[in-house]
Formats: sequence, C-alpha cells, structure tokens
Amino acid sequence: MFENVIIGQYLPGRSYLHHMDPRAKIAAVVFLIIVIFLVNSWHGYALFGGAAIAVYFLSGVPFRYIRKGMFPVFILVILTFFLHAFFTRDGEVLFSIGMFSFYEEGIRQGLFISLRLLLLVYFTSLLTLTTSPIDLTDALEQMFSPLERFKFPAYDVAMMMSIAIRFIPTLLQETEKIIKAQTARGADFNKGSMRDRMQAFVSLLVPLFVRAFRRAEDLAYAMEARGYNGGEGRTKLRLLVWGWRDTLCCCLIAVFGVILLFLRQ
Amino acid sequence: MAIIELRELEYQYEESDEKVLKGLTKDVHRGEWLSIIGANGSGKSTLSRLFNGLSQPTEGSVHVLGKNTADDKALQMIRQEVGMVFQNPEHQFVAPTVRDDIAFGMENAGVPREVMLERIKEVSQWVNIEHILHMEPHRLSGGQKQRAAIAGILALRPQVMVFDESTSMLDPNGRKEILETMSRLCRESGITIISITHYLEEAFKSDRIWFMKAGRIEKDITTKNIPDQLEWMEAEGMPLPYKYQLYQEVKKRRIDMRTLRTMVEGE
Ligand SMILES: Nc1ncnc2c1ncn2[C@@H]1O[C@H](COP(=O)(O)OP(=O)(O)OP(=O)(O)O)[C@@H](O)[C@H]1O
Ligand SMILES: [Mg+2]
Repeated sequence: MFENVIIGQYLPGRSYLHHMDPRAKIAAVVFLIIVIFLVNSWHGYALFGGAAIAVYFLSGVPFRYIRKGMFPVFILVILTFFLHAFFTRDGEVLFSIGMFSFYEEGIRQGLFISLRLLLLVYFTSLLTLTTSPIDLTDALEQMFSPLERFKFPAYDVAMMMSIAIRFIPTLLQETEKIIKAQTARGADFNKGSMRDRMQAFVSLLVPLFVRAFRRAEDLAYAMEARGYNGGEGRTKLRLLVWGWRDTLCCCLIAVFGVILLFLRQ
Repeated sequence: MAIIELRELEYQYEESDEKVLKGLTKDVHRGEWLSIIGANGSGKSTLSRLFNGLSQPTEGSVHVLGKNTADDKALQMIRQEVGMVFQNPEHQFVAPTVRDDIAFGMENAGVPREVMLERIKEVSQWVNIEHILHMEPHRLSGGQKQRAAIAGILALRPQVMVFDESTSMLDPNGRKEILETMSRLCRESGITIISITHYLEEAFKSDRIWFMKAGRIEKDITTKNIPDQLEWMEAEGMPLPYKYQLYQEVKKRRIDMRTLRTMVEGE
C-alpha cells in the first residue's frame, strides 16, 4: 500500500525540474494550488491539463511511476465525485437511477473538485519527486527565515525536519532487526488472533521507543559538543542557486495565472 | 604543561543521591595520549562530559587552557578546543551526508564557506574518507562513520580530542582504523588525546593510564611502568593482553626458555 504513495518520495535525476532551485519549485506549486481553486471553467481546466503535460515532460519522471502513484488518489477522487454528484441539487436533472437523481450542477461540481484534487496531488508529487528532502528543508528554512523576526524558529524547525529525514533509514533498519529478534523468540507478526498480533506489535514498539529516547540523548550531546547553539551566527555549506530556469519558470507561471483569471466565468 | 586541570572535582546527578565523581584533582598534559579505564559505572563518561563543559561540576572546577568551563563566555571556545567522539557511530551523525556532517561543527562556529570547503578536503584526506563524502550514513560502516565524526572535529582545529569508547561498537578492522587514527592524531598532529576504553590492550598503546574505580582515580601510571603494575592489574581482575599474560606466567613460575618452548610445542 505505502510503496504506492509517491508524495514525499524522491527520484534522483537530471531533468529541467531537477535542476531548478527548490525555492522556485515550492513557490510555483503553492501558486498553482491557489490558482486551481479559482478555476471554474472548462477552458481553464483544459489549459491546466496542458500545463500538467508540459511539466510532465520537464520532470523526466517515468510515466508508470506517476500512474502507480496516482492510483490510490483515484479512490479518494471517485469518492469525492460521488459525494458531490449525490448531494448537490442545482440545475436540471440529467438522469435518475432508482430514487437517485443526478443534477447538472452536481456532476459539474463533482468533476471540478475531482480535477482539482488530481492536479493538486500531481503537482505536489512532482515537486517531491524532483527535489531531494535536504533541498526541500533548506528551501523551506530560507523561505520562512523572514518570520524569525516574529520569533518563528525557522532554523530549528528545519533542523528537526532534516534530522527526522536523516533517521528514517536508521529506524527502518532497527525495526527490521527487532522484528527478526522477536521472531527468533517466537513472536509472530502475521498470524494468530488479534490479541496475539497486538502483543507482538507492542513488543516491537517498546524497544523501538526505548532506543529512540536513548538516541535522542546521545544526539543532543553530540550536537552540543560540536557547538550547536540554535542558529545564531551560523554559516552554511549548502548553497541554493537561483538560475535562469527559475526566473523563466516564475515568469511563465505568472502569465499562466493571468490567463486563467481571464478565463474565469 | 597542563592543558586541562581538574580541581577537587565532584559530580552528582540530580536524580541520584550518590556522588558519581569524588574529589578528583589531576592534570592532563599537553600533547600526551591519556587513557581512562574502569569498570561499567565507574564514572568515565560522566568525567568525559566535564572536559568540555557538556556538564558542569557539582563541586570544584575544570579549567581548559586556563579557562573555567563554568564561564559561559569561554564555553564556545572550549567546545572548539576540546572535541568529542562518542561511542555509538550512528548516534553522532547529524547531517544527511558525510560532507554535511563534517561541515556541521564549522557551520555552528560560523566558519566562512570557502574555508569550510578547503578544510573538508584537507581533513577528509587526512582520515581517508574523501571517496565517500557524498554518501548517506546508512550506507557507511561504523568505522567510516567514526572517521567522519573525527574529520568533523578535526576541521575545527581542536587541541584536545576525547574518545568515549569510540571503538567499542566497531568490528576488529574498524577498531584498528580508529586506534591508528588516534595514534596519528597524537604523534603527528600533536593533539592531546584522551581515550576511554575497557581494553587494556588499547590503553597500553597510550602514554599514561588513569584507572577509575567508583568515582575516583585509583591509579595514574605511565605506560613505561607497565611491567611493575601487572601484578596489581591482575589482582584487580583485569584481563591482561596475551603478551603480558605470558610475561606474568613466565615470571611467576620462573620458567626458563627451554621449558617454555616444550610447553608451547606440547600444546
Ligand atoms: N543521566 C544520568 N542520571 C543519573 N545517573 C546517571 C546518569 N548517567 C549515568 N549515571 C550513573 O552514574 C554512574 C557513572 O556512569 P557513567 O556513564 O559515567 O559510567 P561509565 O564509567 O562511563 O560506564 P560505562 O563503562 O558503562 O560506559 C553510573 O552509576 C550511572 O548509573
Ligand atoms: Mg561510558
């Protein structure tokens, strides 16, 4: 199930999108998401569809990857569509099945909302597929750093995020080790009654948590020993470089937004 | 000359009612390789955290390069001068790749980016990890992670490095790598090394050994005097390295070379 979710996964590559500054990509996606909710005409969605296809070619992500990743979202989309189709009762009745009638406005709204959802997930997925988590946190840190004036701890939040990302593989490895150890002692994670399984699950969680706390303490010492003091007077090794691709992308997107606004009904 | 001075040092954890360190007065000399050895719970790690102000003494004082670690203004400087490598290689790797991890300490210290790049190159060559700079921690061996940690500290140009059982979670190869690195740090770069260990074998490679027991430094010997101390070590139940076990046996039983030979061949 989870291996199908592509939001949050990163696929290394050398495409146009991969080479873009993560800040430009985040800004573009946020902009597109806002715009999607303003679009209310078929022309608008057609244009959006065109943009989605263009971005696909710029991303270099294999199609089967996207298809696989969008599949779980489809279930949600179909559900939303039917909710709207059933419960919106405006406009003419298009057709009826038994006691249910489908109205023009209902179908229309259902389709719009579905398209919005699909496009939203699609663009966000492409963002994370073409941007490494490190670049994402770096970009978010920089974009939120003006808020530090208002006591928003942008640097600490970014540090927390990057440490969390850094320790995901460690946690997975550890989980695997503990599962093996517990299995060797007779625990079974796949068979038995609900109660047995819960017990096996708890026997997994407890050592995992104990180790996590132990590690947090060690890590805190290690960071403090290396002079970590919450970001004051800090320099950075990683640089985010704004290039022609980013300026071009921002211009195109602005034009795109203006056209879409004109197409509003 | 003393680089770290402990004076009437006492330490007690807030949660416990017994002192973990009891009245230590000692000097660590500039440029020496000092080992600290002692049973579990004898207070070695607690002591190591006092060397660079990660903890503050309950009583008494610690001076590093003449500066008191209780002085907040000196703390940043002290942390740069006294680097620490911990036991678990996994738990001290902070950043997403080796390169970023080496940079972490320099970033905190506000080292300019160009200088960082130069130093990363220099120290990664020194500990022989320049081919894995781009790698993520989960693809590295324990020894490689420890060397990355050492590189990150070296980049800050410290005068003292403390190793708290930094070899204990490594395989024999990794252990050898780190021991050799420590030796080079001390002999070639003149850095003062304090290494905490459970193995006499490792301690015997250093210049001086503190034997800790229940919060006190029981003995302070230079490794030149090892032969005189072997009996005492045996009496304390410390497992001697083979070479010294043999030496002791031979001495105790007054075995001459010929008997020894027949013994070894008879085995
Ligand atoms: N955070 C803590 N809170 C309370 N007591 C602690 C804490 N850390 C250590 N102690 C206690 O202090 C004593 C010394 O611990 P320390 O970790 O310094 O020993 P050590 O010599 O490093 O042992 P080891 O060889 O196991 O690493 C032990 O009795 C331990 O239980
Ligand atoms: Mg310890």
